[in-house]
Amino acid sequence: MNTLFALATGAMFAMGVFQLLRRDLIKAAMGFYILFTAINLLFLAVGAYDGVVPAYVNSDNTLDGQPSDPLVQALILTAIVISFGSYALLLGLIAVSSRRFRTVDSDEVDQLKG
Amino acid sequence: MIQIVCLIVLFSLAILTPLVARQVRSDRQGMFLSLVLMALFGAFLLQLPAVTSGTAEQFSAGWMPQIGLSFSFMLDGLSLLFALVITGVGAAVMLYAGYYFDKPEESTRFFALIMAFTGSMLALVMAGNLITLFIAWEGTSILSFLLIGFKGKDQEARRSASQALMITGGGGLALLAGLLLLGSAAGSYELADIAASGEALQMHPWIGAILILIFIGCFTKSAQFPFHFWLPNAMSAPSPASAFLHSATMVKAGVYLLARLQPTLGDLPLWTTALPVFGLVTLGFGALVALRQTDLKGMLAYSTISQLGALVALIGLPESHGIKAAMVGILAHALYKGTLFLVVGAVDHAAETRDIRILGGLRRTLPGFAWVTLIAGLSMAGMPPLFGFVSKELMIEAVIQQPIALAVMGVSAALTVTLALRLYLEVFILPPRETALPAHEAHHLPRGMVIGPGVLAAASIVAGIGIAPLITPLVEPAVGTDTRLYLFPPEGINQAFLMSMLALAVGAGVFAIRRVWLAWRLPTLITGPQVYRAAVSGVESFGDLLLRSQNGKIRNYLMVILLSVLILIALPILILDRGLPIPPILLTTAADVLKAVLLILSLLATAASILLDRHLLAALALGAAGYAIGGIFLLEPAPDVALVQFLVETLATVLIIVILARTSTEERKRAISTLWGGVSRRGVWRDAALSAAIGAAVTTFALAAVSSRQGRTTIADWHLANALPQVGVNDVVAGIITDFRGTDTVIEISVFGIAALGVLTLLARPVPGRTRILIRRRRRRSDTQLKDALQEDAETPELLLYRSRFTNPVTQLAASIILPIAVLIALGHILYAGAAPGDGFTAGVIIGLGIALWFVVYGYEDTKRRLPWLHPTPLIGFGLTLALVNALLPVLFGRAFLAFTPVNGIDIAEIKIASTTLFEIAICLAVFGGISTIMEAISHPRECEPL
Amino acid sequence: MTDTLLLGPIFIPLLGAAVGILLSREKTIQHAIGFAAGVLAWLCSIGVLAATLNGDLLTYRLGGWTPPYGIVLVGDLLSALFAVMATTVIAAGLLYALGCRDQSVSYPAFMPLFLCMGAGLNGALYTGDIFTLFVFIELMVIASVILVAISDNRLGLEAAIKYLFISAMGTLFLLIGIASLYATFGTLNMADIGRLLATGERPLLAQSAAVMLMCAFLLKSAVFPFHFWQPDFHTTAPTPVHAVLSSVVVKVGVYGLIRMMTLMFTAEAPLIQDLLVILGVIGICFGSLGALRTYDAKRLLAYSTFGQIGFILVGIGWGTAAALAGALVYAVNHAFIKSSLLMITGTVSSRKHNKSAKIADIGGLGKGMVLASGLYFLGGLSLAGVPPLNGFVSKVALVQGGIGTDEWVVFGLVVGAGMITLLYMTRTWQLIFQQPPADSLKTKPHGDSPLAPTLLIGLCIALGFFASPLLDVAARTVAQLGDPQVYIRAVLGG
Repeated sequence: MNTLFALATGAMFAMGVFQLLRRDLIKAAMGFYILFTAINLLFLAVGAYDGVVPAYVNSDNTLDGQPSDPLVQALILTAIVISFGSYALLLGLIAVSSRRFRTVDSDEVDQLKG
Repeated sequence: MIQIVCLIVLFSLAILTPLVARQVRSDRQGMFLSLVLMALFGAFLLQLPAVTSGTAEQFSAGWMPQIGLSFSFMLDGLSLLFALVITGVGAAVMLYAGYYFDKPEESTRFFALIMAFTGSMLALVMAGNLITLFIAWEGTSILSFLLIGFKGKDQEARRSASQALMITGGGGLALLAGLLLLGSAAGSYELADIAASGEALQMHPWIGAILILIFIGCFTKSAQFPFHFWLPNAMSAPSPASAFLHSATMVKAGVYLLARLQPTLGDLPLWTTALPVFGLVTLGFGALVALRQTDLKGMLAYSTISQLGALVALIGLPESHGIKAAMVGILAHALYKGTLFLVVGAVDHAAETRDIRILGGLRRTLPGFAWVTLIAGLSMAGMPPLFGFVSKELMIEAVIQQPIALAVMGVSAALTVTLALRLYLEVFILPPRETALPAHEAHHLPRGMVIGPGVLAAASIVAGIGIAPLITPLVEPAVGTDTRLYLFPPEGINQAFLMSMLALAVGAGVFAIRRVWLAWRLPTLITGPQVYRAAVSGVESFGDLLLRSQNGKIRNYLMVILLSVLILIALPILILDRGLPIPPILLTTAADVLKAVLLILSLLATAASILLDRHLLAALALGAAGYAIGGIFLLEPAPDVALVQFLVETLATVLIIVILARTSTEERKRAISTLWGGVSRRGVWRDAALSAAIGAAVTTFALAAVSSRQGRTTIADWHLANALPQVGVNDVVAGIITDFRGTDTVIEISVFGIAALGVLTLLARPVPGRTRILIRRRRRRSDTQLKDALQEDAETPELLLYRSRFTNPVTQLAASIILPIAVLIALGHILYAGAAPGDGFTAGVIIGLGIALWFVVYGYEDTKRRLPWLHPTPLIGFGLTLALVNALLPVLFGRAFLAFTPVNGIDIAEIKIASTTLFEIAICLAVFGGISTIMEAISHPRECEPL
Repeated sequence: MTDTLLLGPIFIPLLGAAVGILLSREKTIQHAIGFAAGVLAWLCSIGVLAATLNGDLLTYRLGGWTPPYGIVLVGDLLSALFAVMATTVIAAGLLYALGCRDQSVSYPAFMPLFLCMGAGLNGALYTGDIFTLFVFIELMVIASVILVAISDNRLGLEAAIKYLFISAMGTLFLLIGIASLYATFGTLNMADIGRLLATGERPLLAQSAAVMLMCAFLLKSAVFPFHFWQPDFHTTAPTPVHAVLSSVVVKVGVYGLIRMMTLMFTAEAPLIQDLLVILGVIGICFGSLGALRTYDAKRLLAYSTFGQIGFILVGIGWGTAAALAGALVYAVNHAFIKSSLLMITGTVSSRKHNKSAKIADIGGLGKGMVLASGLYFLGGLSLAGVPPLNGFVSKVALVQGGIGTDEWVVFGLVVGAGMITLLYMTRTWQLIFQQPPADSLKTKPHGDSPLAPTLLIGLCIALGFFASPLLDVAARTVAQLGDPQVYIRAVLGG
C-alpha cells in the first residue's frame, strides 16, 4: 500500500511539474496547485504509523486502535491553507496581468530581461 | 603627537572650508591655508633633532585588533623627509591656487579636497601600521579621482578620472592582498615588527607573491611602465592639483613604500632585478615620449614618469647604493617639477592654451614666470650650482658601475636637458612657430600668482648652493647611514661630473636639431592604454554574454532550477536506492482497496486536467482530483484534513472558474494554442522527460520516507497522550492546531489574510488612465455614479459578470437559504472544534462559500446592496487582531504566549469554553473575511472599492 | 523574563499589521503605528542581542509547551545578530516609506504588508522549529510578492508572478526536506534533529534532506543557478521594499545555510562548503559583470547584491573560523550599505515622473543634489570596500579569513572583484551626479525624503571607524556555532 502511495505521489509530482512548464499561465497555475496537493500526499506518507482509527481520544484518554498520525494532519492543514492562499494570489496576479499585458501566455510576459 | 595634531588640523580644515569660506575671496583662502601648511612645515622641521637622534615619539592606539589594524603613527627620517616635501610644496601650491581659481565656490571645493588629500598623504608617510598605511593610500587614490574629475561636466575629465582610479585602485587591491599576506607572514601588521623580522620574511614561502603584489601596487601608483598612462590623462586636473599630487607627492607614494621596505626586503634577488628593470625602462621611455608632446602638461607628465622610473631603479640597486641619490632626487624633483607645473598653469591661464606649437614669446607678458621657469628648467637640466645638478650627479654616481643603467641614465639626462630648453625657449623667448596667438594678446595675471612658484624656484638655488649644511641633515636620517653631500666633487673632476656635462652638451645639441626629429613619425607600439581598453571591452562583452541568460522566459528559469536540483539530488538519491527495502503492494483491508481506487482516480483526474485543453474542463477535472484526495484523507483516517480538503477544493474550483470568466477568451485561446509546443513537439518531450525524472526522484523520496518511518518514536505520541489532559480536547489534531502548534496557525491565517488583501489591492489598484476616475468616484460610495462610470466602457467583457448571468429566482432562493445554514454549521464547528471534525478554519470557509454563492448568484452590485453588513477587509483585520490579542494577553499576566486557559463552570451541551474558543472565532473571522474579500475583489467588474 | 523579548520582533509588527488593516482608512495613524511597531521591534531585537552577548541563549516556549513537542523561539548569537540587522533595515525602510511619494506606498494595504514581511523575516530568524520556519518564510514571501505586484512600476506584476512560481519551487524543496526529516526523526525541532543526527550513523534520508534544504535556502538567497528571479523582483519593487528585499530578505537563505550546517548537518557540511565556494565564485563573477553592464541604477544594485551574496558564500565555504566571522560581518555591513544605496537611488529617481532609474532617464538628474551625491559616493565606495568605510572592514575580515586556505585563485578573485565594483559604482555616480543633465530632463520639485539613507550612511561610517564591537560579536558567534551542543542543550535542556 505504502509503495502504491509513494508511486502515486511521484506520479502526481511529475504531472504537476509538466503542467507547471506550460506556456499557458492558467495551466501553469493548475500545475502549481497539483504540486502542493502532491506535497500533502507526501506528508501523509511520512505519517508515523498506518492508522486504523482517526486521531480521537475517548473521554478517558484511551484510543481504540492505532490512530493515524495527528501531527502530519496538522501540518497538512497548515500547508493546505498556505498553498491555497498562494494559489488564490497567483490567480489574482494572472487575472491582473491578463488585463495589463493583454496575454496569459508566459512567453509574452517577458519584458524584464537582461 | 605632532602626527595626530596635523591630521586633525588638516581634516577639520577639509570639512570646515566649504562650510565657512564661501564668502571669503579665494586668494585669502589660499593665503590662510598656505600659512597653516607653513606652520606644519616648521613644526616638522623642529622634529628634526629628535628624529636624527631616533628619539622622535611614536603614537599608537588600538583600533581594530581583530583585523590587526592599529591607529599607529611614527616619524623617522624617511617619513620626515616626505612630510617636509608635502607641507613645503603644499604651502607654495596653496598660495598659488588662491589666485588660480576665480570663483570662490570652486576654490572652496578644491581646498576642501586638497586639504583632505594632504591629510591622507601625511598619514600615508607617517603610518606605522600596514593597514593604516593602506587606508591612507586608498584615500589619496580617491581624492586624486575627485581632483582629476574636478571639472565634472567635461566628459574627458570624467573618463580620465575613472581610468586613473581603475589603475591606482586596482593596484591598490593588489597592494592590499600583498600587505595582508605580508602581515600574516610576519605575524604582525606593525611596520616596526616587520622591519624586525626581515630574515624570517626573506625565507618565507609566500615572499615572491608578496613582492609581486606590492610591486604592482607601487608601480601603478608611481606610474611605472606599463601602468604609466593614467598620469598624462590625469592632467585634466586643475594645475595646482597636478603640481601637488601628480608630480610632487602622491605619485611618490609608491617610491615611499618601496624605500620603506627596502631595508627589510632589499636584498632579495627579485627586488634587485625587477625594480631596476622596470625603473630604467620607465626612465628611458618617459624621457623619450616627453619630448614629442605638444601639450606642456603632457611634457611635464612624461618627464615626471621618467624621473619616477629613475627613483624606482635607484631603490632597486643592490646593497642600497641608490638610496642616497633617491632621497635627494625626491627633494630636487619635487622642487623643480612642482614649479614648472605651476608655471604651466599660469601660462594656460594667461594664453588660454597649453599647446607648445602655438605658444611663444610670453616673457613680455609673464616676465616673472619667465625667470622662474629659467631657474627651475636649469635645475631640471642639472645645471650647477642648482639642486637638480646635485641630484643628477648622485644618480649617475650610483649607477656608475653598471654600464646599461649608466647609458639609460645618461641618455635620459640629455633628453631632459632638451625638454628644459624647449620649455623655456619655445614658450617664453622664441616667437611662436605657428603664429596663432600673438604674445601680447595673452592677458596679465595677478602679481601674487608668481610668489608660490618663485619660492620653490628660489629653494632650488638655495638648496643647491647650501647643499652640505642644509640638505645633508635632512637626508642623513632618511638614508640611515652617515652621508656626505657636496656641490662639486671635493676630490676634483670625476666621471660623474664629466657625464653630466656631456649630457648638457648633447641635450643642447638635440634641441638645436629639434626641427629634424620633431618631423619623424615614430611607430605606435602597443602599450598600456590599448591593453587597458581591450581588457575592459573584453570583460564587458563577457558580461553581456552572461546577461543574455536572463531572457525573461519564466519556463526556462523553472527548467534550469528543476534541472539543477535534480543534479544536486542525484547523488544522495542513488545512495538511497541502495538499501531501500521496497515493501510489496498489499491491499489487505477494504479501506486499502478503496484508497488505491481513489489514488488512481485522482491520478486520472489530474491527467485529464493536463490533457483537456479547455480551461473550464481542466479546472473541473482538477476539482475532481482534489475530491479524490479528500476521500483518501478520509480513509487515512484523517477526517479533519478531509473536511478542509473538500471545502478548499470547492473554493479553489469556484475561484478559478470566476477568474476564467474574468480573463478574455481570445487571450486564453491564444495561450491554449501554445500548450502542445505549437510548431515543434520537442519542447513537450523535453518537459515530459524532466517531469518524469522529478517524479522518479520524489517517488524514491516517498519510498524512503515510508520505509524509514517504520518503528521509530515520534513526538506525535506525546501529542496523542497529552491532548485530553493538557488542553481538554478529544480531537488531537485540533489540539495540535490550536494549542501545541498554535503559533503556526496564527501565522497561517495571517498569510491567508494578507493573500486575500493582496488580491483585493491588486484588483483595486487603479491602472493608469481612465479607471482612476472610477476609483475616485467610488470613494464617494455612490452606486449611481458607479454605474455611470461603468457605462463609459460598457463594452468591456467583465461587465457580463458585473450583472451576474446565474441570477434567477431558484438560485437566489438557494443562496438566501444556504447562507444562514452555513453560519449555523460554522457555529457548530467552532463550538465543538475540540470534539469533532472541523474547527474555526472550516467554519470560516463554510460561511465564505455561502458568501461566494451570493456573489456568483447576485453579482457584485446586488450582493453589496443586499448584504450591507458585509465589510470583508475589516473582518480580516479584526480576526487577526483578535487572534494576536488572545495570544498576547497571557504574556501580560506572566504566562506563556498563547497559553491554554480553560474557562470552567460553563457546562451546556458538552461545550468546552476556553481561550481556544476565542482563537477559533478569530480564525473563523479572518478566514471568512479573507474569502469574501477575494470573492468581492474578483467578482467586481474592474476594480472594487479600495479598502 | 528577557526571553519574552523574542516575541517582540515577530509579533509587534504582526499586531501592527492587524491593527493597520482595521484602520485602513486612517492612513496617517496607520503609518504612525507601523513605524512605531518597526522601532519597537528594533529595540527588542537589540535587547535580544544584548542579552545573548555573554554567550547564553534565549529560548521562548510558545504556548508553554516543552520542546520538542511545542514550538520554541531561540535567540542565539547568530539569529540575534541577523535579527538586529534585519530590524534596523526594516525600521529604516518604514522611515523611508513615511517620506515616500510613491502611489503604492499610499495604498492602505502597504503598511500591513510591509510589517508582515518584517514579521515573517524575524520569525524565520528566531524560530527553532523547522516547520514554523517554513510558515514564517511563506508569510514573508507572500507579503513581498504583493508589495512588488502593487509597485508603481507596471512591470512589478510580471516580476511578482515569476517570483511566486519560482519561490513555490523553493517551498516545495523545503517541504520535501521537512517531510523527510520528520519521516526519519519523528520531530520538527531543529535542536532535536541536531541531537539525533549527532548520535552516530547517517539515517537513510539525511543527505537528501540536507540537499533539499540547501536548495531551498540557496533559492531564497538567489544564488546561481536559482538567481533568475532576483534582479526582476528586486528592481521593480517600491523603493522601501526594494531596500529591505535586497539587503536583508536575501540573507534569510544565508542564515538558513549557516544554521543547517552548524546545527544539524555538521557531517555533510564539508561537501556543502565546497559547493558554496563554487557557487559563490560564480555569483561574484556573474553579479559583478552583470552590474557592470546594466545601465539602470536599481537593477545594477540588484546584480551587485547577487555578487555580494557570492562573497558571503565564499566566506562560509572557506569554513575557517576567521572566514565565517568575516562572512557574518560582510553580511551585516552589506545590508546597511545596500539598503542606503537603494534608498538614495530612490530619492533621485523619485524626482522623475515615471520613477524610472534607467541611467538614460536620470543621467545628470542628481546635479545639485549635494547631499544625495555625497551619500551615494560614500555608499558606493563602501560597497567597493574602500577604507575607512565599513565595506573595507568586511572585505579585510573576509580576505584575512581566506589567507589560511590554499584556494589562491578564489582568494585573488575575492580581492580583485572589488575593482569592478569600484568601476561601476563610480561610473554610475559620475553619470547621475556629475554629468550635465540632458535638456529634455523634466523633474518634480520634490522627491522622497533622504532622512533614512542619511542615517544608514552614518551607520556605515560609524561601523567603518568603530568596527571592533561588530567584529567581536561575529567572532563570538562563530565560537558559539562551533559547538552545536550549546544550542541543543539550551533548547532541550539537560
